[in-house]
Amino acid sequence: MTHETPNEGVMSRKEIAKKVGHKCLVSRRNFLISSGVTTTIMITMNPGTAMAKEVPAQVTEYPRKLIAKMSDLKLDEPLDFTYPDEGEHADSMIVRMGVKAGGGLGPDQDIVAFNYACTHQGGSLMDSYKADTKSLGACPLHLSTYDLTRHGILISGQAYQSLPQVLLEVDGDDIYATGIFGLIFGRKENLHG
Amino acid sequence: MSTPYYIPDSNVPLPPADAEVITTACDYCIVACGYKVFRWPVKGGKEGGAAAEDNAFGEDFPVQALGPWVAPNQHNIVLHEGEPHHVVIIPDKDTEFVNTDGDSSLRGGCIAQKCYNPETPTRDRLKSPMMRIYGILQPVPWDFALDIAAEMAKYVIKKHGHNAYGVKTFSYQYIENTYAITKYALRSINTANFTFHDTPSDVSSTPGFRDAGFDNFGPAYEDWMNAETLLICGTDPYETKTILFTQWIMKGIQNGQKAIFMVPRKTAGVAYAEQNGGLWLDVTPGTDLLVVNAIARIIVENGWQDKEWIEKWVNDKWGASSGFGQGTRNTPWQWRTTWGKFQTKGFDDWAKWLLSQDEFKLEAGAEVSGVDAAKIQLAAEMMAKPKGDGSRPKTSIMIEKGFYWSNNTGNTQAISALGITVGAGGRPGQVIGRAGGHQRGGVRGGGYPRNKSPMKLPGRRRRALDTDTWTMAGHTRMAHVIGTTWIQSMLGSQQMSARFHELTRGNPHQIQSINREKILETLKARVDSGGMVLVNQDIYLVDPIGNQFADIIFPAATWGEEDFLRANGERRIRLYQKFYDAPGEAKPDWWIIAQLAKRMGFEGFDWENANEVAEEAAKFTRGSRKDFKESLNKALISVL
Ligand code: SF4
Ligand code: FES
Repeated sequence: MTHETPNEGVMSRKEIAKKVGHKCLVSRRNFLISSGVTTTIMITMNPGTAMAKEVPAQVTEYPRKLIAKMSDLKLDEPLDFTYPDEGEHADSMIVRMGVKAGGGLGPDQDIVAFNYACTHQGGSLMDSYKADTKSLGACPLHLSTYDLTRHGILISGQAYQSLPQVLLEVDGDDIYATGIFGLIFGRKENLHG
Repeated sequence: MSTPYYIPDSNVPLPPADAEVITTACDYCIVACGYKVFRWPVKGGKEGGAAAEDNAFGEDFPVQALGPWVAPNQHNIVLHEGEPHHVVIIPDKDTEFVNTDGDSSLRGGCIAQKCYNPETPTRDRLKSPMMRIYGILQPVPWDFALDIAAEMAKYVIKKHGHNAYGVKTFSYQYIENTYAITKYALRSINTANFTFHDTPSDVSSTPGFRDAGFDNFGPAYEDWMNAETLLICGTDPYETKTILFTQWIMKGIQNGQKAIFMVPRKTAGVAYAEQNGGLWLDVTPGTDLLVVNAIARIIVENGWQDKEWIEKWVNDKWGASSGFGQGTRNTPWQWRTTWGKFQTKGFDDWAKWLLSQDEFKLEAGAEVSGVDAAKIQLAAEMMAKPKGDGSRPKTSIMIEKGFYWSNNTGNTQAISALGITVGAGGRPGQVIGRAGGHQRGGVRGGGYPRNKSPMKLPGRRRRALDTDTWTMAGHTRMAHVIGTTWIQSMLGSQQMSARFHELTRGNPHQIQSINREKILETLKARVDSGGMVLVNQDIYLVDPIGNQFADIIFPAATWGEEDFLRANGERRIRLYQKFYDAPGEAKPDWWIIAQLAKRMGFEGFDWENANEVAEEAAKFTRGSRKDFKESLNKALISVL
């Protein structure tokens, strides 16, 4: 054991980032920026209460992307995909959990999809699905774990927000990703990075 | 009613390249992580861009893991010099100390949400002094509220004595404030009816450490990392002092450290330790002492104690404080007649005592505590069994409230003895201390007037006044409660709440006028009839002390709203800079105290700003673990 020098063997922030960050299929420079037209609609927050107010809802166009077939989803076996683009931190997963979940799709409302980048500081949650607790984690960096039955809320850990949930639609046997609930780690907005 | 729901934001404004950068430290737990506040005006609609040259971080977005990402929770809008400003508050990505890697917990990570913003739940911050008139708290001018409070304080002290004025205050919320408060209460008023938020009377919470000569906060964060075996009692630092775990202890574990947790619940840090060569002593609450002494006994039976350390560095009975004035040895007569009866004569004598107590046998300890005997045995081996080459493991011991707030004296005595046995002291990687809860912001501006306390221990020695029983008995005629709930946390009872009600709102003399003289007449009649006037100073209206019982409310300014100083769990002085306007008319506690003190005719409260208070307070830190006189001198020199 090396205990003489404090911090010896401790990697720098950038070194850790390299090790734990996941590889993207396409580098940031080449990915096609989705060029959806930005529209502004008004939604009413807290309708019917004294705090009701109209706020601009920033609806940017998310791509509608075919990500999996219902018939391919096996219980507790996540499938990986990228969304909303192929840039940094787009890696995501879809899973059928056998347990009713917030935002769950399918006859049992048990199909959910989430982004893989930990919303603490971006550790990759890939391959960390736990069938017994229907959770993602523990994050290799600082051990955050997320409940996939409850919109990706933190079970234990340090994340600054819930894990972004990918919104889904079913069309026959096809499952489409149509949007994201929450900001993806590392980005300033979900679309356009 | 509609069901409240939450739609997370899916974008966040980045600070533009020319945003102002203000350094600060996290306000929350003991670790005191370094932070940066990025501030820029709302006016003009400017926002930073994704390209490195277009944002204040100088990094391209999206950023890599551990990069300066801004979660929506890390952004807020505040007033700065009366103008709306964006603030983005994230852990300092360039720091080399404390939160290395620019890490933070979820608590500190979301600290931007703490800033006052009327659009968020912080709209409930206290913004104006208030007085309860006709049973309702109503905004009043500062001068009016201060004048009434000062007049009443003078009256109560003169008519009912110093101890009729009680001060119950936080001990930690910045050096400037605690210094001003203690100067006012202990030096100027000189009341024995004084204590901090966490105890009914002003006493030590780790008496065993005090007796053994261990400082609560001797260890550095690096020491916790560099221990080869670390026994953690009564806390999971991953949960409650996160960065101490994720940036220090976790790195130690990755480097081969064996972390032993003695806690009843298997929380995340415990699970991590168990998976990585550590151990969980799943103790039944309240039985820690038996486990600690069972471990000590195994060590002694095997002769694994650190003999060299004990011989060279540990006092024998002649060198140790003989305990005069502690416990039963209070008078010279008792001191002479109990000589040799209240402590052991040194290590061998202690070992003999330990081996003679059947409850410290491994089986007994295991049975009562519910911890598997094999695990207790293993813990003793990890902590003290010499390695193959005869060298000892570097062992450290960390304790916190789950351990020392139950069976307080017994547990802290036992753990101190175990610490001595395994050679933990002030050595690199071989330390014993507290992990800490809140940060350390206490500096005393006056000594506690023990001789004025009417409460005694057996014999003649006086003990610090128990403010709970004193108040329950009706002796507190004016209570000044600063930044603590008092009722919920102390005698912690419905009776206490009922008694507070009886003494304040339940008293027939209630303010029913806005006329100064009439109000004073009413409150004087209240205290003379055995009732109590209650002043509450806080940042929120607290239930029930503030919203149900207080007569006068003083709104306080806090983190980010004033320049402050404080120390962290490794005695590092941290600077918390002001970066936005306090809500409404809220004022820092030191200012409120100074205004009161001056109106009461006390001298030495003419401070112009927080810095003047800090400089005066520095003199009172000499020789303490938070001694910052030297650093202040150096800082002044470097500025000049
Ligand atoms: S570990 Fe403590 S000091 Fe550090 S960010 Fe978290 S709450 Fe703040
Ligand atoms: S990056 Fe996942 S817990 Fe810190």
